[in-house]
This record gives sequence, C-alpha cells and structure tokens, in this order.
Amino acid sequence: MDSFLHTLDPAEFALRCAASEGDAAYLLYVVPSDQSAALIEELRLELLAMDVAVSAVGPRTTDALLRAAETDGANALLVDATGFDAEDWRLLDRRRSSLQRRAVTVLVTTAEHFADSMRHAPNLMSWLGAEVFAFPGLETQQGKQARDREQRLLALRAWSGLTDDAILEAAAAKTLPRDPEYAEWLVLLGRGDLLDA
Amino acid sequence: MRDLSDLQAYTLGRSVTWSGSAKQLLRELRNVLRTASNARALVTKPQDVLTYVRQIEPRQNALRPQLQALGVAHEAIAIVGGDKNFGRSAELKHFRRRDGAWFDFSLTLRESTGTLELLAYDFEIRLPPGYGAPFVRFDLNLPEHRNEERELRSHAHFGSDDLLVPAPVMKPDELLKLFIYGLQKERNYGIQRMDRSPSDFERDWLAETCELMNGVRLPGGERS
Repeated sequence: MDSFLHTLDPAEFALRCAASEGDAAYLLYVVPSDQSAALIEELRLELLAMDVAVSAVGPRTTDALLRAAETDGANALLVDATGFDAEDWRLLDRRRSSLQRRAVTVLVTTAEHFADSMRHAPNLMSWLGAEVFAFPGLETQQGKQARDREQRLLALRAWSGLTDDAILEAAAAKTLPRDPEYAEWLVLLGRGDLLDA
Repeated sequence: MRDLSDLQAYTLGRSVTWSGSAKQLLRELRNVLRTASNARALVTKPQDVLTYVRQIEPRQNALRPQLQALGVAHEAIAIVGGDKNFGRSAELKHFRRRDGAWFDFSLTLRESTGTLELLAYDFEIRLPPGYGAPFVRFDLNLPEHRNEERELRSHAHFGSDDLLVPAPVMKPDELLKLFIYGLQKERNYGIQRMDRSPSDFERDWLAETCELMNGVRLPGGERS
C-alpha cells in the first residue's frame, strides 16, 4: 500500500483535513485493519486538538453517512468505512451527490476495502482525486524512528566523547552526570530503568 | 551549592506530575506551536511543527522482559522538538520566531497509566544580536544520587554553559510560551522611548570577550 499511496501519520492527515475546513473537501485514509478503531479515535482527537468540530459516523452505516451528510453541521465528518462492502460502495457511488456538504468528509477504510472502493465506486474515487492517503506501513515507521533515534545518539556521542557502553556503565555505577542529555541518552538506548539508579 | 538547599527545595516546589498521556502532551505542545505559527509569532510552518515535535522510540532492549518481570521496566519516554543541536547550528531543525530568535527542546518523562512525570528537560533559545545574551537555556536535571552534593536541579543559563542560576521548574507548554511570547526586547509603552544604549562597561566587556574568543589577548594581558 505504501508503494503507491502517499503516507501521512494521523497528525499530518488531520492537519490536511483542518486546512480544508470550510471547503467541500473529501479525503480517504487507508489504515491497517487491526488498528482501524484506534486510528479513527486518534484522528478524532487530533482534529479536536486543532479546534475542528468533528462528528464521527460509526461503522457499517452507509444510511447513517448519507443522513449525516445532509443534516450534520460539524466542520468535519469522520466516517468509519472499514466495514463497507461492495454494495455499500456501489450505493455511495450512485448517491455521491448526496455527500456534498460545505465541510470536510473523511472516509477511513482498510487496504482490503480500498480495493473494493476503487472497483465499485469509481466515480466517487474519481471525485476524491488526489485526496487519498495511507497510514505509514510498519517498516516505514520503524525505519524513520530508527534514523531519528540514531541521529540523536550520534549527536550525544559526539558532544560527550563517550560511548553507549560507557554511559550504561556509569549509570549502573551511579556516577552518570545528572544533565538532561544523559537522561535522554538512557531512554534512547532503551534503558529508562537506569534513570533512577 | 551547599548553602542553597532551601532554594533548591523552593525551585522544585511545583509538582512535576500531572494526569495525561504522552500522546496528549504531544498534541498540546504541537497546538501551542501551531497556534503561534498561525498567528505569525513563529515563521515555522504548521506542517514542520508536526514533524519537528515527536516522541523518539527507544531501541528495543533485550532486557525488557526481565525488567518487566521484576517490575522495574519504567515507561520512560523522550519527546523532542527539533534536532539535537549542541553546536547551535541554524542548519538543524528548529522553531523560529518572527524576530529571528530560534529554539529547540527535549524532554524526558515517565508515563504510567494516566499520569506523566517530568524527569528532565532542556529548552534552549538563541537570540538575535543585541538581545543581551546569545542564548538562554532552561535545564531540569535528573534528581541527584543519594548522598551527593546537590547541584541546582532546576536552573537556567544566560549566555554561558558554565554559569547557572536558579529557575523554577516549569511545565513544557509554559516553557514554549515563554520562548514564543516572552524573552522579547523591551517595547515602548505610550511615551516614545529609545532603546537603552549599552554602557561603557558592556561595550568594553563585549570587546574583551571577542578578543578572548579570537585568541588575540589572554586574561592578564598576554597575547597568544
């Protein structure tokens, strides 16, 4: 999925949604099925943190989505579309004009159902255009985190002239300086247990 | 610092524990910076705020299962804003104010169920020329080892890594707001005032400091 969809983490995706607030905007977010509930909640909280009034439309409810699109006055409609099957997508494709509202509509689906949406709602997907994004895959996330962590560790070693092992030994011997840089160093090494040493 | 234990206790008097989660804190800090960006108090773009403020994942620790079994696997976390920047290079990621001041920060916290405890931080802002000091940094050190001479755990540096002054412990959002909206040059109020001119003492001090830094003249008048 990462290979052809632009990836954004929930905060970045929420910022994109917030930037469209006030416009008729439609975005699709593709997430792993085992994390869908948690990510939808995270999106909701991120939008709220950005002062975007958001209504959540629960799973498996194309009727509820169509009703909400007509009546809900929230600035953003966050739709759990992870359970939408082929028939649901076909319905939304036929009734896509009913989704029109001067606000942001976010459809969250999984990789498996994204394929369904492309197949059974081609007009709706064409309407979405480039506003389709994916949650970063695990390898992408881990790679980015590792690079970030190692850059900071490199800076700490260069600054102090010490090695990771020297830091760990000093912490265990209760001789590690108490400066905040050393606290961060221990945490990055996965040895937050030595903070209280 | 033997005679400053009362002062130490006073600066640490505020609670460093509050209810919340790391994710909530991340959102809060990003919100402070994003709001400042939208209000043009910061020139850093909102998109950059999101990527610069993050939680750094620790290395996987092979000891973790054993530490958990012993009940000592504390959930210590690191939240940072910008790059680690010991050399004070403006080429690394940072947040920038409209007046050219720029800053970054790092926090170490412990996260338990529904609670965050502040363990250590460093927040440093570099100021434009003419602001009286090249940088200001607020540090919260880890608690001292037992039976050791106590340094001031919460302190600030004004233009010198060697000199430190007591400072109250502050919450991360307070420090950000201080950096964004405080530490500004004195403004004129009502009656028009000129910027305060530096005294002869300040001029001479700056000139001698430049000479020292360039190795032109050593203390005592020796030339390098």
